[in-house]
Amino acid sequence: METRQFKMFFKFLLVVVFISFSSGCATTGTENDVEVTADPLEAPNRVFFDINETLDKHLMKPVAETYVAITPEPVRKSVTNFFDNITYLNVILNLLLQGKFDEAVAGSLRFLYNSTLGVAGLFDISSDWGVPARDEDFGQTLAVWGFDQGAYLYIPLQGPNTVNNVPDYLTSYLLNPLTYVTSTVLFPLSALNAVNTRANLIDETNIRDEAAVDPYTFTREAYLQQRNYLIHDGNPPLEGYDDIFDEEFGGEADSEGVLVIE
Amino acid sequence: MRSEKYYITATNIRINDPGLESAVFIMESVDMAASPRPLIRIFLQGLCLYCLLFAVTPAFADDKATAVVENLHGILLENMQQADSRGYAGRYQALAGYIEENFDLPLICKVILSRYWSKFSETERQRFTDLFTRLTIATYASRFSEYQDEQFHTLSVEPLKKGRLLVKTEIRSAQEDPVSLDYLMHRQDDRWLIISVVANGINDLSLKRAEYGTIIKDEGFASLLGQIEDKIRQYETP
Repeated sequence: METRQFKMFFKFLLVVVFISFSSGCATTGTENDVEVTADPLEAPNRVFFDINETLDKHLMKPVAETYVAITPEPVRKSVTNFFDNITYLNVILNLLLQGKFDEAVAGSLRFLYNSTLGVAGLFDISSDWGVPARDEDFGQTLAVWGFDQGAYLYIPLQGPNTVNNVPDYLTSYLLNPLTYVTSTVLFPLSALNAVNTRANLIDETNIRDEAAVDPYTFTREAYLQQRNYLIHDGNPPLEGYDDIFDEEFGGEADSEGVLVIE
Repeated sequence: MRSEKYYITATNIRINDPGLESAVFIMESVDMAASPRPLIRIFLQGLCLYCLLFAVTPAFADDKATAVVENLHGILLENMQQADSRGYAGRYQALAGYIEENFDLPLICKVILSRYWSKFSETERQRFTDLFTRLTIATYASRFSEYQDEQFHTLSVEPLKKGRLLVKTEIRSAQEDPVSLDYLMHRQDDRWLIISVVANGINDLSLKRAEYGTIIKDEGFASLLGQIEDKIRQYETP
C-alpha cells in the first residue's frame, strides 16, 4: 500500500516537474511568412532520442522480433486487445471531458462487453459489433478545450509526446485497474505490454528507417501531424491545409523553422 | 422546344448531378410557364444557362482530378497484384511515366526546399528535382509491393483555396484498419496535378521539408543529395 502511494506520488511529481519545466519554454513564432513550431526542448529531446534508439536497437527491437517469431498472431492480437481494453477507462473519461457523451456511453458498453463476454478483454467483440475503439487522451482533451499541443517532448523509454499530454500519464495511471494489483502481477504484465507494444510498431519503425534521412525530425513531424489528426478525430479542418503552397520562398536561410500543417 | 434541346445537351453531359438536375428542372418549369413576356423569358433562360454552367464545371473538375488519383491507384493495384512477376524494376517502370506526368514535381520540390530554393542555382534545383522524382517513384515501387486484398476507395472531393481540390481516398483490407490517403491537387492549364499526399494525417511534403531543412542546415546540400541517393539505392536493393 505504502509502496503504491509512493509510486503514485512520484509519478505525480514527475508530471509537475515536466510541466513546469517545459511550459515556460514553449513558443510559437512566425518566420519568413512560414508558420513555425519551435522545438524548444530539442537539445534534451535529441539526447533522449539517441538513448532510446540505442536501447531499442540492442534490446527492445530484437526482443520484440523474437516475440513475434515465437508467438502466434492471434495470441498477440489478444494481448493487444487485453491492454487496449484495460486502459479504456481513460478513453471513456476523455470522451466525457470532450463532451462526446454518446460516444462515452458507447465506449462504456464496449468496455463492459469486452471485459465480460470478451473474456477480460482478450477478444474485441465490440469492434465486430460495430463499436470500434476510439483513441482519446488528456492531451487531446486539452486541445479540444482550446489549448495548443505544447512543446514536443521526447520521453525516455516512452517515446514522442507533447507537453500538454503529460497529465495523461496521471489519468491513465489512475484509471488503469492494473495500477491496483500487486507488483508480482504488475511487473510481468508491464513487461509483456512493453514488448507487445514494440512488436506492434515494427512495421512503422521499419518504414521510418527506410524513409527517414533525419530520424529525429521525421519522428517529430510524423508524431505532431498524427496528433493533430487524432485531435480532430481523423478530420482535421481544411482551412490552412494548403497554405504551404501560397508562401514566398525568398527569405533568409538562417532560421530553424519547421512547418506544421494544421 | 428550346428546353428540350437543352435537356438533350444536359443528358449528354451528365445526368446524375443534383445541381444539373435542378437546372434542368428550372428550365422545364420555364418551358411550362412559357411566359409571354420576352424580358422575363430571357432572364429566366439566362438564369437556367447560368445554373447549368456552374452545375457542370465543378462536376467536371472533380471527375478529372479524381481520375488522376484513381488511375494512380490502378497502377499501384496492378503493381501489388503482380509484385513478384514485375519485380522492383518492373514496378518502377510502370509508375515512372505516370508519376512524372501527374505529380507537379517542380512545385513540390520548390515547396520542400522552401527558403533554401532561392539560394540554389538552376543546376542545383534541377539536380534536386531529378533526384526527388526518382525517390518518389522508388518509394511507391517499393512500398506498394504486396497484395492482401487491398481495395482503393474514393470517398469525397473537397474544395480548397484558389481552386485547389482535396481528393479523399482510403485503402481498405480485411486484416488492417483502413488507411486514409488524401491527395492535394491543383490545376495547371487544363490538367489536374497531385501536389501533396497525406497518409493518415501525415503530410509527406511538410515532413520532408522539415527533415531536408535540418540536413541542409546541419550538413549541407551535398550531404542531402548523397543521402537521398542512398535511400534510392536501398529501395533498389532491399
